[in-house]
Amino acid sequence: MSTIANSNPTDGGPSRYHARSLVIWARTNLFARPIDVILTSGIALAAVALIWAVLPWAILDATWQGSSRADCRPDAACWAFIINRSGQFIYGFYPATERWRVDLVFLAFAAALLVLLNRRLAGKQVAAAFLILVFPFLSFVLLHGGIGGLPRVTTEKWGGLSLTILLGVAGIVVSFPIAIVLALGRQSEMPVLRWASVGYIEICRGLPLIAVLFMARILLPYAFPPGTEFDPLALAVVGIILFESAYLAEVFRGGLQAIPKGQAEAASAIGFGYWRTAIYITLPQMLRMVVPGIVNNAIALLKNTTLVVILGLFEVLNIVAAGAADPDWLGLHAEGYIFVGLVFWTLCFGMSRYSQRLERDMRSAERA
Amino acid sequence: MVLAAQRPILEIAGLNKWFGAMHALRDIDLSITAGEKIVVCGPSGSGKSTIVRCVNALERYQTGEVRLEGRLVNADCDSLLSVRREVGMVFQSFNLFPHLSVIDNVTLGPRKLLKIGREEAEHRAMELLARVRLADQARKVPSQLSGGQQQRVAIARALAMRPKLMLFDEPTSALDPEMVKEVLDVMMSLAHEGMTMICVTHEMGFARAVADRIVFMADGAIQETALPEAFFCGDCCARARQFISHVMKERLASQPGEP
Amino acid sequence: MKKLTIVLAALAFAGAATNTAGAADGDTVKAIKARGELLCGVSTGVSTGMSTLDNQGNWKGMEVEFCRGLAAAVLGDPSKVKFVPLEFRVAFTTLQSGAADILARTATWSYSRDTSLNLDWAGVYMYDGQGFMVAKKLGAKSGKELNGASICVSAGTTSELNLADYFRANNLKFTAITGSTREQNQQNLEAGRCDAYSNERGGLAASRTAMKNPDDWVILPDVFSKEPLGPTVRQDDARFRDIVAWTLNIIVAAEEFGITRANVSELTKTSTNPEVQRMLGKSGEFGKMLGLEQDWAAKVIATTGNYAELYDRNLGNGSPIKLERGLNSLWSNGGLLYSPPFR
Repeated sequence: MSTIANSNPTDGGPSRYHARSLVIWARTNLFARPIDVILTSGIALAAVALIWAVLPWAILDATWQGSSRADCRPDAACWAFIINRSGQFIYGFYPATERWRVDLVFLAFAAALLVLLNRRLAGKQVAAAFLILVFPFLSFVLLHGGIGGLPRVTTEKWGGLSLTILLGVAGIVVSFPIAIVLALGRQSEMPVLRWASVGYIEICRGLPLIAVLFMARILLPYAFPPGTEFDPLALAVVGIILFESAYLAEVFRGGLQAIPKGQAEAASAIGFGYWRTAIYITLPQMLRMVVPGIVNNAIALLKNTTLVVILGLFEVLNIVAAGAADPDWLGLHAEGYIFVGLVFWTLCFGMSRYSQRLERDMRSAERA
Repeated sequence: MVLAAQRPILEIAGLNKWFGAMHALRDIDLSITAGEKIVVCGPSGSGKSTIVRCVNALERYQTGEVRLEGRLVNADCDSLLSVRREVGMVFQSFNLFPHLSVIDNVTLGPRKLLKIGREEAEHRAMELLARVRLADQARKVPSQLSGGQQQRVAIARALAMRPKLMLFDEPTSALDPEMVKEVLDVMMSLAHEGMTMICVTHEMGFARAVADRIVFMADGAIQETALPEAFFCGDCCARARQFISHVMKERLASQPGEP
Repeated sequence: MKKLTIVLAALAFAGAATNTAGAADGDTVKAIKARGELLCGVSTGVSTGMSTLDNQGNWKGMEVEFCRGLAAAVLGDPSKVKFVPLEFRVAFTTLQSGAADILARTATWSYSRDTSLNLDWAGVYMYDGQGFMVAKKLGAKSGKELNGASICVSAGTTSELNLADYFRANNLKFTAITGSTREQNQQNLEAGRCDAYSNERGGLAASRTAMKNPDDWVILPDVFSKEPLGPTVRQDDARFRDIVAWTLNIIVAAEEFGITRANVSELTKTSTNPEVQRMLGKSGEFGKMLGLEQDWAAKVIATTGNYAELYDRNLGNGSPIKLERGLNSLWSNGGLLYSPPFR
């Protein structure tokens, strides 16, 4: 394969260089042997046929604007449904005039995350401290309002994609420190701590999230005086945190077990106590190792957030399902579910690609 | 090598340790004065590493006492952390922190425990790295270094805490033969500067050149304590003689021309 | 862990059994007034015509409007309702526990539900039943012509059982093409994988609207099961049940007496019919008998209109669904809607 590496750049300019190397790449990777030729042509034909069948329905004949299904062509996609209700699908029932608050919260989160995760940007500790200590309260104040002149927007009005992301982020971010404590506790030499950690993990891990949410919806009102109102969002977040912290704790435990015992010994020999060893030596190494496990859990959690409909919350899947039942838009469930599918796929794929890049970076830093 | 006539820096008295039912250390008595270099040798399973690990309480012992400058050392006592800061240890498997660069490995202890500022810590670290001849590798990570280089960094890391006593637990056993010499050279120069050392090793050449006393162990007990000349001239118990000849034969077989 | 789930579920039921008395204290009206709003359990927005969400996120549908009427009756203001979206699995227990005051959630009234759940149905606002939808071009005029046909139906539902009973009772044969969701059944029917679709007629009407060309499909007149849908309340509060029942009755009676949303305020002042006068509060103290305001009924009708208007707007010709009233007409028109007199 030296022909690829040695493609002579002086051969008539950059465009010819790219074209030649593309042909060479195709020849080596797609058409090397007769079986490859057959497979490649077969797959290409199938892809073309699929696009040919779907393209008119999905794009060419589709209706993009309208205020009800009557405005749409009956034999093609009606994306007007999605576009018309996009505000609802993204923000839920948040009042239109206050949506800037939601935007602000997500912008702040994205900015902090960017600083934290991008190698080239400085101020990582500030960003981490902001995310863990300041951001949860700030976001709650901004979203809920009632303070400082911001009109109150109660939690049952939060919904759509912003709710999905909120649940996923809150789930992972708050579960993180709890999971670390549980993982360390499970390895502790103090029996009380160890058994408490094991008990918590086994109970919360053993129950499916749907059961946890059911119990929150059904059992809790009996445990409190009748008429006590429970904020469904708080219940959802607590349920998710109970569930996710147990799962993450086990992921972390796997990482901790993979650290050679000598690391802790070397730290002890220098004179580091338990907590300093954990903070400077053990946890940094563990976190590097468990990135795939964390991302896996995050992706699963994001998809599990659809279960909060049991508590009456309309995250993106159920708000689209409700939209497809509206008499004005009846019959457009295909468009709705395609939209939701694309949303989830984009989020999950984004997380997955990011984690691959993270791992690549960490590996190359240790190898160079 | 001048033996300073002072109060002992390390006193081990009546030390006994069990691993479950197995009696790993039997009535160990050992006293080391400042500046002394002790080499502990013996067949595998004799408890050499266990003794050394009891000195900085990486192993818990059941009866007896270990005292560093009069302070008791055991897994539960209050002064444990402060004792450990004064005892440096070098491990057979180096145990460098892989997520930190070489210089960060060396400065971590001084910065977080001795509360020395980053600049001063790095200055000191560079001096130490220069001493072990690795100043140019300061920004690399451990996985980029060879075994011998990693062990030298480990020595620098231990020295960064300005310990009163250095423990070496088979420091060259995991190294390829070509790299053994560079580490032994560092240890020898350390010895010449007057550092108190306890060294568990199979390197008899090093022992002969550096040790003030050789402690021979077998079956968990100290069988023989002797001056090097005596030890290597066969003026010792039968077991020790058997051991020496065994080791010497091995050494000669693997490295012709070894001093 | 399965055992643990069972143990916890058992604890839940034990708690439920001992605590139902305490759950609502028998004074729902007091709780509603203290709270300032009615908690109305509805579906999660997927019940077309009954409870759905519009583009602005407002609830609309027949059950939704009924709850608004009820709020007008109890609190004087139809906007003082909080809609609690409930999945079917949690609906009954939510009502039992007190987290909702009433379920307006297409819940079919049946013997076992009425007797075993400590709940009551305060009336029927829609007499639904199972029927068939076929393509117009098939030319069938009744279910009895469907001998040997393939019928789409949802797997594992009472619809599937009712369908089998119907064909057996009529000595006819059919093949069931089962789907797991309404959408799947619609797809199958549209693609021609079955000749007819069998479901509750309300659902069929919604499905018909969802088809590519609704006019190509027709719902046959057969009704071969009973699905009475009505508001559900807790069994221990007779006063509240009366209020709910008579709110429904007033809506039906309004149609009987020709009272509409448009003319209710005028009729309150000018009507000479003694029963209308008693209903709308011009004479007598009928409001007080229920513990409500004198004009409670007028407020209800001002919110929902009479039954014809309510039905028309949500399920009839005023909506895309266009389901004919059938049994949901007044008794004097051959239907089942019958309000006891206001005397």
